[in-house]
Amino acid sequence: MTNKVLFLILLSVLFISATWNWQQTLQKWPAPIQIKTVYASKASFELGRALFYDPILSVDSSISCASCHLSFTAFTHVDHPTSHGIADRIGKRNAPGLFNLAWRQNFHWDGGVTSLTGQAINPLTHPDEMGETLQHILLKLNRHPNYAAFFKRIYKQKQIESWMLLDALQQFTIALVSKDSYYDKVMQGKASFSIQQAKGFALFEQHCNHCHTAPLFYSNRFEINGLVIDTSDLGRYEITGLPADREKFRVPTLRNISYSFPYMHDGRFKSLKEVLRHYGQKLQLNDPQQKDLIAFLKTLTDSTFLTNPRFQYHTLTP
Amino acid sequence: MPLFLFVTFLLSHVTFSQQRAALNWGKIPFELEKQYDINDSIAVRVDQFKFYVQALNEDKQHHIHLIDAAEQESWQWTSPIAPMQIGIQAAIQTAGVFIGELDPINGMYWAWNTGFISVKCVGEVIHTKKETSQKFEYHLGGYQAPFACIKAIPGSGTQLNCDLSLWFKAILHTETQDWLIMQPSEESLAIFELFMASLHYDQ
Ligand code: HEC
Ligand code: HEC
Repeated sequence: MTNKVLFLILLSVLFISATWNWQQTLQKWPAPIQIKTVYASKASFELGRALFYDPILSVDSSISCASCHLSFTAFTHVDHPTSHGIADRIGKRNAPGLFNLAWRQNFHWDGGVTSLTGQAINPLTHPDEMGETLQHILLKLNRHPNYAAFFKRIYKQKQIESWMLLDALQQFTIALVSKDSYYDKVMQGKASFSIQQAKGFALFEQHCNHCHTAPLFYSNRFEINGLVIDTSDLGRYEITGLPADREKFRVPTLRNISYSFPYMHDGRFKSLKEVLRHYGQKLQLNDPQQKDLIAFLKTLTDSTFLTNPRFQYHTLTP
Repeated sequence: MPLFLFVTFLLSHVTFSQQRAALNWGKIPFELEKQYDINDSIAVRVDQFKFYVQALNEDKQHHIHLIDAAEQESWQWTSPIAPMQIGIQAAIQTAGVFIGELDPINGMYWAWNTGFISVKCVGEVIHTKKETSQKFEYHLGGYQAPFACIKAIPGSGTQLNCDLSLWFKAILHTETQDWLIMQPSEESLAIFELFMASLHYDQ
């Protein structure tokens, strides 16, 4: 009997401590979909962070994850319509920002990747990106005295295996949370919108929010937003093969949107002005309304996130 | 204490058995990189052949095993006595689990089109009279309807027989021949169904 009571108390303590952090900081946010693994700790975060910035992960040690995902620009590949990989080969799609990934059901513009942990296999092994093989990366890491020691400390195994590499990278990417924009401060009652921003917000709620849904400003759905079709990329259809999914792309986040230019899956629009001109035609929004919307979108920039030293370049010291 | 008892109770209800896969070409044991005649003008050589089996046990553990024609040790494994399927349950495929048999190093994970390959078979079809050949590469898998390549193996037993000659004869009988199948599609499912028909348990 006493055992049972103790067990229940222990369970509730664990539960409360596990949920405390989210509840405190993310009021009204939905529950995350991607869950931290049992290896979540400061050490595994720092390991993932070092790996993220280390070109050891690419075949010719020329590029790291950060080459396409820069912290200062919300981890997008700014000013590149589609991303460069090794040997300057051009990828097919625009690199999205990396933040608030825990709430994503699936990843990439076509949703073809269903777990954050598994996502990293794509850039690591894609010939147009880092062009490596997992075998060879593991060989390099196992030979590297620093990495070998850090992995062993966290994962308690002599040899580094692929799941550990993927887990470590995910410890870093899942921790990239952006929720401190001017918009958030307004929502918390700590700031207020200008008249133009307020008008933009009202237009946003009317025309955009059902796809780019607050507070994440994305939804885990695939939609057509009226772009002129380019048949070289059929989006969701390339994953499901279902005719109804032709030319559908996932709804991207609009947080930190000022930094993720050029816009859309293929980076076809260079500025928010061009994006709004596109939506203006579809949704009958006049010029001042388009400007109001842009003013609102700019309140979604989170400079605390963009300049957070915890997310910047880092190497491991033994 | 009660938890401990509960766990032992559960464990005592999972019974394991030794499983074996017998890979054959007709009546003879199948070998990789060996040329087999289908008829007097067509032959087949397989260079790579692997597939996943999963035991669907209720203990919530992942009883997944990869059979690789190139690794003789993989032809035997222990598994709970439970219904068996080819391919891996969708819930596991999307959970981001990459440990053990699911290590992407095995070359059975689709990076750009997520999911695990259920059956991988690579080789050449040789036209012996014309002295020409056609490379084929089948990556049959995926977990999403309507093209998911995951199916229960009919029957039960401890020796799973796979007759590759049956499979290839059936493939060469089909009308449209797509030799490079690397993602889920109608064709991939059709070839997978033919593979399923080449499997049976010894009674
Ligand atoms: C060559 C440039 C490049 C490199 C290097 C690169 N990425 Fe990416 N990343 C991209 C592109 C492009 C996409 C979008 C791909 C798509 O949608 O098809 C992407 C998407 C992602 C996503 C999914 C984001 C989302 O919201 O769907 C994550 C997570 C990610 N990358 C993490 C990483 C990690 C971790 C590394 C290093 C192991 C890395 N990337 C290396 C270009 C790159
Ligand atoms: C029907 C759903 C839907 C509606 C409504 C919608 N969008 Fe979008 N939006 C999308 C999709 C889908 C994409 C990605 C399209 C692509 O890349 O092919 C997108 C892309 C964008 C982008 C580019 C994001 C990036 O990172 O490249 C911006 C900016 C944007 N939308 C703003 C808006 C604004 C402002 C409104 C309201 C006027 C709006 N959207 C209404 C679905 C929608």
